[in-house]
Parts: sequence; C-alpha cells; structure tokens
Amino acid sequence: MSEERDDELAPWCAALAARRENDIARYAAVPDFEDVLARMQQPGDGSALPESFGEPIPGGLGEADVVPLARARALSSTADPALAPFVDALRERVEHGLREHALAAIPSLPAAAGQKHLRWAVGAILAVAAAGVLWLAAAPLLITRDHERPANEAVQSLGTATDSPAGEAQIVTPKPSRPRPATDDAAVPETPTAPPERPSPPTRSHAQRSDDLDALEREADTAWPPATSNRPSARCDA
Amino acid sequence: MEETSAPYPRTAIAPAGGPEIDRDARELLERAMRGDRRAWARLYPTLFDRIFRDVAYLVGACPVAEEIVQETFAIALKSLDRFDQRASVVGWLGGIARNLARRHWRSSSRRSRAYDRLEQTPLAPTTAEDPEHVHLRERRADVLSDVLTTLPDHLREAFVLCDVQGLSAADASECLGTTVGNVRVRASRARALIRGELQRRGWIGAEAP
Repeated sequence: MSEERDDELAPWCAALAARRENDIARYAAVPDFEDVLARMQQPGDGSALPESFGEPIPGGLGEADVVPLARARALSSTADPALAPFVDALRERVEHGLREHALAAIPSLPAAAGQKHLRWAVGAILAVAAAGVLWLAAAPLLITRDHERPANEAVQSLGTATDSPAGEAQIVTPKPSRPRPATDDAAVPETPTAPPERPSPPTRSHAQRSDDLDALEREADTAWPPATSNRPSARCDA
Repeated sequence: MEETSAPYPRTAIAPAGGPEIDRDARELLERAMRGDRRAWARLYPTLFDRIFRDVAYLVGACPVAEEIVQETFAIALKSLDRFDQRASVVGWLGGIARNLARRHWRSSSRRSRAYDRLEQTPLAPTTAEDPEHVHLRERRADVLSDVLTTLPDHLREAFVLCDVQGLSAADASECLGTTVGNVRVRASRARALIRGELQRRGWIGAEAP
C-alpha cells in the first residue's frame, strides 16, 4: 500500500473499488486465445513472430486452457436452469429476426423486358375491355334521355305558353330527333321506316353486253392498223 | 462517515506480482520466444485475469477492458523480440495495456459510454448491509467515476493504482515505468483535483483537511 492516503477520499475510493470488483466478478471474462491469434494476424506494427506461430493450434492444446469467449458466454447464459427456457426463446426469436432481415435484404430479380411488354399489353387490353363495358352499360341511359328530351321540351313550352301575356296556348310540336342507330339492347319502340327507293340501273342481258364488246373491238381494229398495231391484243399476240 | 476507516481494497496485485508468478511467466515467455506456442497459450490464461483486473480498474467498463486485454496479448505476441529479459513479464504486458487504455481514454465519447455502461451494473447488496450505506456507496462510486473522467491520464493512472487499487508507490512506479517520487506527486495532484471537484459539487466540505 502506498504511504500517503487521503482519509476523506478513502470511502470514495473504497466505493469505487467495490464497484470495480463487482463489475469484474459479474463480467467473468474468459480468455480467448483464438481471438488473440486472430488479432495478431491483422496488419499492424512490425511483427517479429516465430514462424511456428502462424501455424494452426495443435489439437492437443486442451480446451481447459483456452475457451472461446463466445462459447463461454453461451454456456454461462444457460447456467441457470430456470432462465434457460427464456434465454433459448429469446435467442430463437432474435435469430429468426436476423434470418428474416437477411432474406428481406436480398434484392429481387429485375423483370425481363418481355415480361414488361406483356404487362403493358395485358393492361391495355383490360383498359379497352373496361371502356367497352362502360360504354355498353351507359348507352341505354343515354338513349332514354334523348327520347325524353323532346317531351320535356314540349311540356316546358306548354308551361311558358300558358304563362305568356297573350294567354294563348301555343302548342309546340317537338322537333323530330335525329335518327339514331338502333342498338340490340335498346328498348325504344321505333316505327320501322322503309328505305327510300333508288333508281335501279337498267339491266342488260348477256348477249347485249357481248355485242357491245364486239363493237368495241371492231372500233379498235379500225383505229389501229394490224402492222403497226399498238393495241394490247397485238402486243399479247407478239 | 463511518466508512472513513474502511480498509483500502487489497484485491489488487502488484504489477510485478509475486516472484513465483513472474518467474513462471518468464519461463513460459522464454519458451514462447523460442517458438513454443503452447507455452504462450499457457501464459495467456495465467496472466489474463491480472491484466484484465488492472485495465478494468483503469477504464471502468469490463467489455472495454476485455478488448484492451485481448489487444494487449496480440501486440505482445507480435513484439516478442522487443521484450527486455531483465524486466518483469507482468510489467511489460501491463505497460502495453496501459498504453492501450490511454488511447481509449483519449476518446471522450468512448469514455462516457464506458462509464454509462458501468453505471448500469449496480452493486449487489448483501443482507447484512444497511440499504442506506449501499445507496451512499453507489452514489460515491458514480460520482468518483465521473470525476475521474476529468483528470489527465497520468494523474488518473497514479490515483487509480495507489488509491483505488491500493498499490504501494513503489509498485505503482514499476507499473507506470516511472520513479516513486513521480508517482507520489502525481497521486497527490490527483487527490487535490478530485477533492476540489467534490467540494465544487457539494459532496465534501471546504474545511476538510
């Protein structure tokens, strides 16, 4: 013990020493020679080791001398049989979480270009189909509203006529709506209108048509002499 | 304060250690220097506890002390040829460990973290102890740990070795690689600083001797 002491500081020092001893006893550090060898292999200041130090540890060294810290802590953590199930459960949960984290960290494979195009095509087809379904569903409603509109306008015009200062009832006939193409599912009664008659072209018989062709050929023969004929039939004969 | 007469802790072992321990360590070290790894592997657990205890007293946190001790033995293994065969093996290893501890202390963030961890391990009261005394001891340990962080390295080392670990000035001087007088001066300065800090915090009276 040193010769000089400070009595007033003595209890403080004793308290700190007790704390240190308590910490040391609780920590129960175990030598880990493998860790020392691993640290020794790390690059650092000049090493002057005998060559045999780089070789593996002989198996006969005995684990009683050197106990890895990790193993010692694992053993000490389950030393209390009452706590062992809890420790195991907690360790299992932590390891499970670590595995999940490791799996989640794996990046997913990038989608191939063909798959991207296929997705776009399928999306476009679905969009068109959805638009068609909406149009079909909305068409009857539109037709019904178009047919109700003239009647409503007529009713409104009647109302305005009775309220007019002249007091004369003006009956306004609704304008015929523009003919609409009939749809299969449109339940709107429409009077069938006969299509207007078109002037049919004059029908000619087969003999009459062949006579016309013969006449045309004769005209062609007279127009182009046979020697210097430039008509198509001559070129074909040549 | 009835604890004033409490004995200083006698758990600390002189860095030079018992002559028989150092003789055995020297023999193992000589074998290791000739390439006998089994000798080094046997020397390591033999001296581990002693170096670990010293470093734990110095840095405060056992995990940090463990790291420093592992690094100490690795550095010693790297520099076996630098060992002066006239010196003490324990003193040589202790010197490496203290250098590493100083490096650790220079990092203020690590220092604070180390003592934060330290404060999380309260003392286990025995059934015979008065709870008030246990609480007072806890507070004193906390406060002194905090005050030690404010000291320079060389003063803190001298104070810890002489006043906390209870080494003699001669042993502390061998441990620190300096003269006995220098250790006494350092320890005295450390006490003055600690006393002033405790007074400033209101833990001890200004009229104290």
